[in-house]
Amino acid sequence: MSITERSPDSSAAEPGQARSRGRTVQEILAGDPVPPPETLRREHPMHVGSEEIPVERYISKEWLALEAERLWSRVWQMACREEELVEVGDTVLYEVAHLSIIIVRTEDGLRGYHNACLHRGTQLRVHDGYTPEFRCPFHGWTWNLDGGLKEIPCDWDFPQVDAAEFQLPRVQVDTWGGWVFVNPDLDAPSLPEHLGTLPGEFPWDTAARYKSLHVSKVMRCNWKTCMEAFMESYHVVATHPQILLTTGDANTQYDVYEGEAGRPGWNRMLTPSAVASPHLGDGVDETTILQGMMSTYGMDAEGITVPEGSTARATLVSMSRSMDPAATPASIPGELVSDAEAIDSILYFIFPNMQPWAGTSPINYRFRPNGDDPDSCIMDVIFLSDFTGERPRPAEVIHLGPDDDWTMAEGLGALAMVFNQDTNNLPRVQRGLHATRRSGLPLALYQESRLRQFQRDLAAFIGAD
Amino acid sequence: MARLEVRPSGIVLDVEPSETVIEAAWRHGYTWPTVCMGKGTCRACVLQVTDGADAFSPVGRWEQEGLDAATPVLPGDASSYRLACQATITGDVVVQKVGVRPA
Repeated sequence: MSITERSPDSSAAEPGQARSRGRTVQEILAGDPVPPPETLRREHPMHVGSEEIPVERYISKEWLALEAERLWSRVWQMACREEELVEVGDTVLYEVAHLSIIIVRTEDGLRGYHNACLHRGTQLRVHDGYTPEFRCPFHGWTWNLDGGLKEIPCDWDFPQVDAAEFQLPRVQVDTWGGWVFVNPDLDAPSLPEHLGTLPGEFPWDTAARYKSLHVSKVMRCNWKTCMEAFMESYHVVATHPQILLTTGDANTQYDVYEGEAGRPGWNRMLTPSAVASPHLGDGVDETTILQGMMSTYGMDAEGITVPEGSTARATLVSMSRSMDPAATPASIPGELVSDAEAIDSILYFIFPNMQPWAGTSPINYRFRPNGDDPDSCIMDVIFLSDFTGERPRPAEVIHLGPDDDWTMAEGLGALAMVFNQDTNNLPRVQRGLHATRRSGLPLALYQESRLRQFQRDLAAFIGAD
Repeated sequence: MARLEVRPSGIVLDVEPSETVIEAAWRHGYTWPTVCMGKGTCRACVLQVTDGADAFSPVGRWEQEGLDAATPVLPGDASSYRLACQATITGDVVVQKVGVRPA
């Protein structure tokens, strides 16, 4: 397709209504022998405007500072997992931008505090783990787990300090799906208000899983540059040509749900597997798709055929079920996992920076700015896995530097190469954002509608136009 | 005249010294996975050489750039891959490429 001679795909009258000619996700799901949960049978496209996204948001220190002041200081954000805070005194350190927050299990439940001694500012904690109380390593000021001031060494020298005024400043803490969220803004709406309709449309019981892997990698790009690379399948044709035979990229479904009362919304995408990309045209037969899937994984495709009347999708689903018979969707315990949950890529987005995969996938992403550098961020990959019997200990964090490779993280398996493919481009994107002569990014109206919604909700927090 | 066998489809083609592998497939009426239609930019045409690697043309700088981007996620030895739109052959070869089919 040349840009002067647009494909018939773009013939729809209203902006944002045009679609790929490929089969729709709903048409594909309707043919599945084991149908997906109700929520995946719904489609919720939204035209989120056609304005360009200002380049400045990705590269300027001023914008990053505004995010620190008006976003991170005022928004619900995922900090850790509940299973990391089992015993009274267990702590997790959560840091983003200039913020440093301690989450701790107390006799009265989870609490969160700003991680700074109220005497001269020293961080009270510098890593996760157990502590019976918060004792500053500098002069020994000490707080109880409930935040009350316990001791000031030589307290005769501090007659001006009123213990009631020197409790550790709190942040809001709440949980959903086994995740612990914090919000530094004590006046902010509750977590249920922030999540809005999302929990009702996310029927997978992630609280029943445990953290089996956690990789935290420094990336040489803005946190939004990194995060937005995982919010569309538009990039598949150029970034992942090896999966075109087996991925419904251009016909991916994008759903955008508005928040209530001016609060941020949430969104998701459904990318079907074991169907050929619309980019390859019509007529890719089912056996070719199945062989493509097998060769992607280095399996011998010689002599493999899809039985008459069946599909590559059905065959792949049955292979997936036989490889992991224990996999059941938490939404319908004991029942067969649906075809879509077994093999499709279903990614949700929770404002501002969390992306849980759905179905049987263990993957979750989180993206944070790295200090005050707009050209650096931290990407977390967190796996949640099913277990039977006693809950296993949550995995320790594996830290990777900007020049480390995802393959250095044991446990990612074949996904490490895909992450490399996804993230190798990103420093190049960031560098180009500094070099471009254009002031805005002309995002796709439908395939990048999830980015558009995120950017609009972000602008609302910042107070930008 | 060189003989090209494509697995797993079992398609056999004769290839002229002056044409690339994908051009030979097109001349014989086959579709070969590609998005850029032979420019070497989309890398969707990448094939794996099973037999006859010596009969292939040397890898040029442009093809190498494509292979460097494409092969890290592909199974097996990176040097066993070629771009069908860049490579020519002068002797009999066997390659692995899913998705080659009558147009």
